[in-house]
Amino acid sequence: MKFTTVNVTAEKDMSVLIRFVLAALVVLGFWLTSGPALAAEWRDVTDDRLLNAGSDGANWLMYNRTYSGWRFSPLEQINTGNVKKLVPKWIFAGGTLGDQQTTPIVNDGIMFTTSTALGVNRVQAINAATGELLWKRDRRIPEDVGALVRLIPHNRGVALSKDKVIFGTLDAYLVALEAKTGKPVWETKIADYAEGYFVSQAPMVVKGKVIVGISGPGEMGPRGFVEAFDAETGKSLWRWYSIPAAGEPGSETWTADTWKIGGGAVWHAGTYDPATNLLYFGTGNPAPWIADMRRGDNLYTMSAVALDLDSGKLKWYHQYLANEPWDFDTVSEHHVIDVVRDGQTHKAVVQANKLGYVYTLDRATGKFLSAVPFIKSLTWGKPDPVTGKGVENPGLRPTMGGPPVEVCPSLLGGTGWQPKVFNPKTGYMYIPANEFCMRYAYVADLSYKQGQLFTGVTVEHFSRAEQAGVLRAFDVNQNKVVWEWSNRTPLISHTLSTAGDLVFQGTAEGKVVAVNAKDGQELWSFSLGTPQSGGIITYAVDGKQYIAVAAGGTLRSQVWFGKEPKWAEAARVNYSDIVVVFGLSE
Amino acid sequence: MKALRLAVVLLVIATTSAHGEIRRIRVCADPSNLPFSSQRTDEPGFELEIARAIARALGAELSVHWFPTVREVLTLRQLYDGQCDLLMGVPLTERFTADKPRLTFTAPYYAMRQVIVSPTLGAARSLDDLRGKLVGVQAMTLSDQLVYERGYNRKVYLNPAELFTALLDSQVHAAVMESVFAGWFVRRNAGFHVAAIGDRQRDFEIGAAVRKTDTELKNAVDRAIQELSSTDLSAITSRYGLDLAQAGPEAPPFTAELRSARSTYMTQCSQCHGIDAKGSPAAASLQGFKGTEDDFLRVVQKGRPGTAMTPWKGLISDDEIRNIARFVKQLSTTSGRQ
Repeated sequence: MKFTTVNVTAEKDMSVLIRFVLAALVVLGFWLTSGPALAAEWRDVTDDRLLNAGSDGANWLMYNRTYSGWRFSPLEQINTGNVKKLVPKWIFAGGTLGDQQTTPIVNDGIMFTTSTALGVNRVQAINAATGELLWKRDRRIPEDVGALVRLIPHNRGVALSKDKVIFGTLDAYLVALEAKTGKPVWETKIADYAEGYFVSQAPMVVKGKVIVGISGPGEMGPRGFVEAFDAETGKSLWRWYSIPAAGEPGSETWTADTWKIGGGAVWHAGTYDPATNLLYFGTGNPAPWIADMRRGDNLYTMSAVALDLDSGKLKWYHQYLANEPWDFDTVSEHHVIDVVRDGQTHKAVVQANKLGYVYTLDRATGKFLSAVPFIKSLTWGKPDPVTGKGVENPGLRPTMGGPPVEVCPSLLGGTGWQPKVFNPKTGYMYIPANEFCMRYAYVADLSYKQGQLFTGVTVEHFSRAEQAGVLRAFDVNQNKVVWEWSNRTPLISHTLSTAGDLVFQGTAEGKVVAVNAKDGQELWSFSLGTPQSGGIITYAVDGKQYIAVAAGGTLRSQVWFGKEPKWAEAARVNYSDIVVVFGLSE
Repeated sequence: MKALRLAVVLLVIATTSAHGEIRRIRVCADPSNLPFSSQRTDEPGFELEIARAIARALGAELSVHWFPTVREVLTLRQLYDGQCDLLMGVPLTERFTADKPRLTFTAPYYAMRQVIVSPTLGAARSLDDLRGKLVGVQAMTLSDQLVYERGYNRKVYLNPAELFTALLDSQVHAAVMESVFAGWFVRRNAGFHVAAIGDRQRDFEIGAAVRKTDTELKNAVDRAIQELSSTDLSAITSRYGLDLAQAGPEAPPFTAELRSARSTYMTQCSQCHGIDAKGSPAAASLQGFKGTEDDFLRVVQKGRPGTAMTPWKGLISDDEIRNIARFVKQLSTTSGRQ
């Protein structure tokens, strides 16, 4: 068994004998605390509750809060009028160093959060009002995982289904724990971690199915996929590969056997529209990053894809950029939004991505509707105004062994994996955007070696702008940027918007700020002491609203900021995995 | 001050003053032998430019005795007879210097190497890559000998110009030649790649010759060569493409192992440690690594707990890690781009 029990909930009516045993354990070095009577308070997270999560203001039941992917909370107790009174209520330390990308999940006063390091996937249940640790599970992970996992061991959080907490692991397993106790219920091997597969994203549960996209392929080689599992048993239901096998439709867009190690990871949690019964995902870049080594359009990498929830069949796709050469992979969600333009309502998915454009697609058919740039440092090219397919500016693809090419944006993207946020009150999508560029070169020779990075590039990031991070509010109906708030370093941190007319934004310098959702005016700021890198959520317990901020840094901020002198100060900030919870001072 | 100095020069007839300062240097140079020397003012040739830099460093006046250098015996006689004091561009090899008792030789100022020139598309990166190909060489040169020894198909040309034409017209797949010619050629013709052959035995150093009796001049020129920082010299040589041919005396060639290590380093390591291996706020400078190769191996295998340096054991072989250590060592003495 790969689990080690670190802490269990003690029974309230424990006997004298058990107390004695516990005392002995304390002496032996185990620290056991009794938590609240969790069993009595637990309310099952049914499919119905997940479907209606938007109106369940007190809770944050899934990674993006709702299937639409908005990360918008209807809570308004904390608002523009009183946000200055926001103070920290409790701090929780996850005990790891390195990448902290988790988004805390809250169900009726119980918060679930993950902490990750090489060798361990940790899940914790916390009293969301007090910060008290209820239980903690460490799932040991083999240390002979591939290079990418060794470099950026991380996890973006859990999914809830009825009485279970479900998460993916660094060794590509899907695991279900009992929400009340943290005890294992089932686990399923998704794929072989030796090939470089792992799970980064928080799974999404829809109608009893756990939907998981796989990470690793874009940097490690193997084919990416999305897979559905039965939430009760962990049994696989269907798998859709992001790269067709030889002979399948689309396989003609790959030369020879390149499809076998062609990448196409699915990094981010999906979105879902109950009306179409379609799941929406963005697919990652092809592998290796050297485009010459995999000639052809490389379907269905670098695409928006719509999959039928029941069968996993591809309903439609839109490829943003064929034969992608710069690691501009599609790494964040397609928001399900009804867009009103020229008096006409479009049932759309809206996507702001690394390419630096906000794309609007018809969510039933995938038809391209529009693309509008949201950054200024943009040289790679532009989408064709009719088809929406990327048209590259010439001369920006490096040659193998050739000199570096300057391309904007950098491979962290006009906006990265950090979720975009949509506020239906303002009609604005809040995009943590970046104004920066890269010097990008292909190495002289590269061969596939299992376990090693299969990228084949060198890269240095730089910025001509003094303020490289720009939070931009994009009016999805007017199809244009309406305001911006600037930060010195690129925004590779999270965003949240609430009905209190607030937008919260983290920074790599270690701050979390609140700005007015209508005009971007800064209203409040707090120094976390470590880069803001995980989710920012809001919830309520006993009628009191809280803001939770997961922080701790991501390797990228140090490594990728390193060579740009303007960002040197931020690159010095220490990592430490924490969740800081704020409430109004009393 | 300036007027006074000019008067002194006019009065003093000897090339050296009483204090041993060099006042005037006459250099023998071919009027039409680019990239070495030329009467053209816009492109005087790198040997002549280096001679001027030496004279400037010594505060001496330089004059040129123009003489075609096609025949070695006649050229050397100019020096013996006092028509000039300095002859640039002589090989400091035993074979050349041993039978010239009337001459003495300065310190080297660059190293001539044998290199492979081939079209960038499918470029030859080592001598092994030339197997089965038709290789152009200049007759009776070290390159000629080298290709002959390997038993490769070779096509012989009388002079570098003919060899260049053969490359441009695709009469040969590749050519082996001295780095000076290669640099000159690729500077003018896009689409060609230069690769070192990776055999230091074939390199030879280039210096200048002076009469044996002119010890003061020899010492002064040696001093000047030392003073001309490598940047002064490389500024001159790069104008003639010598840098493209990696002709610097300190640039050691990359073996197949080091080329492989470089690829591994660039893909697996450079994002944190930098293309130059000088590190970043997130990662240590590998050029500054103080330990032994065994230490390097141990750190890469086990990582540095609590930092972004993850263990690489099982992902990169021990031999490859050692080769990466050697590659990084070479990076600190060369640009590493080859």
